[in-house]
Amino acid sequence: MILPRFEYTAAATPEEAISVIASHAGQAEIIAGGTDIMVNMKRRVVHPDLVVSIHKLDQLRGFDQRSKNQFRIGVLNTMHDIAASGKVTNHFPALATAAGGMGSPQIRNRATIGGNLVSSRPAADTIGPLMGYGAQIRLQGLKDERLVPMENFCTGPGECVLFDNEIMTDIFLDIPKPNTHGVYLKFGTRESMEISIVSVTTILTLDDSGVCQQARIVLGAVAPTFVRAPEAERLLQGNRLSEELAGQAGELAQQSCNPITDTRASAEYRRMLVSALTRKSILQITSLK
Amino acid sequence: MKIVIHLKVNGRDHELLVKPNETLVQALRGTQLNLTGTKQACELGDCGACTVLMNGRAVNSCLVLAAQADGAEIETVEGLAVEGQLSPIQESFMEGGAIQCGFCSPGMMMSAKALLDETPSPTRDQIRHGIAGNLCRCTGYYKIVNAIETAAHHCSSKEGKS
Repeated sequence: MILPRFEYTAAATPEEAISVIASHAGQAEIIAGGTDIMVNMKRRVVHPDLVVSIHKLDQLRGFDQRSKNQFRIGVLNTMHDIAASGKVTNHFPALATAAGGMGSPQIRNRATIGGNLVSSRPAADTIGPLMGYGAQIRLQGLKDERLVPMENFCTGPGECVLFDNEIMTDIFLDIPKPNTHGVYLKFGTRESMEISIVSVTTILTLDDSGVCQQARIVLGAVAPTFVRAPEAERLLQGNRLSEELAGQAGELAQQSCNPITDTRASAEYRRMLVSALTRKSILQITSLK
Repeated sequence: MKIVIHLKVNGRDHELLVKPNETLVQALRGTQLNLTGTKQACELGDCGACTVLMNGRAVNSCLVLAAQADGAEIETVEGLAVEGQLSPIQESFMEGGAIQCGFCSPGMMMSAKALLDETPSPTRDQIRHGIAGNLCRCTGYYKIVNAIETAAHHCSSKEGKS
């Protein structure tokens, strides 16, 4: 499969990347790791006149703790970088699990977290954990910048709030409170090279006696975008985790999803998976603490 | 407009002229380098036949723009043997019957090298995950996993040099 014709430039600064794409009004595409856009260009899903690489922008790499409780992830970090980072594994284990289980080693070595978000697939691996941890996405335009909560970033399958004259630069996360546990469960028919049939991210903050203080449950691949399960979250908050409560939360989580039937699974099966995975994720946290 | 890039391939520096829409695998296999050991198959990042190491890490060279690889260090299957001496990975693939039609073998061996460079004594499960991005339609993987295990034993007895 041959790529369509386009011109290529590698930006030296974020400002250069933004001004180049802004001056090409929708005819230019940003490339980072390329694992998604290369396939889409070969399949003629996108056919830009100009491809602008941002791979040289080192300021968009790295992880750093900005303050006592704020953590930054540069958008050019690969899935491998994220899964291999001790700080991410320590503070945001659900994110590390999601990144480490995505695609294959070859894909994880190139695919960036920024690309995973911009692609905005309903089954993307890192969106659920980032929503669960309450991430904010920094977008930079020609004149100004804005912070968008992960929860409001995706607007539909393959669609997000990023404008043609903006680039995504950083992801900001608050370091979770002590005694916060995160789990990412992805259901597929194999361990690698799999697009999740359903994913569930569960982030729970417990007190010393095991009572749930804060709960976030995010469901993936069961609606046009990732969705929270507020009824299930409310059930957990203020209660001590138990097998019975986990089962009830699983049942309630079904109310928040709106799955479709496609080649990989039926809507009914996906609903059952939402219950089973939600329950399992809570029980995993019960056994972790 | 063509672009000049610099690549270090299997330890040698090269200056290449590439098209903006040329992939790394096309540049490696093209007339300037002629390294046709790296195979092109699915061309969509699914099969792993085009796997090469880019700055030490396994990548699908069909999904890398040649222009983006400017300045990178690339290792291909042609770089495994040293002065005509096959590497332990190549030896064990050959001896263990891990090659049938051979089309997946270059990519499979590069994934094996990436794995053993990072994890010199992998478990069978780690080996299976290490080659999870490489499809083989002949062997059923059993002999490939065995061959990588054998190569690991061989390398560790020779202090981890593959």
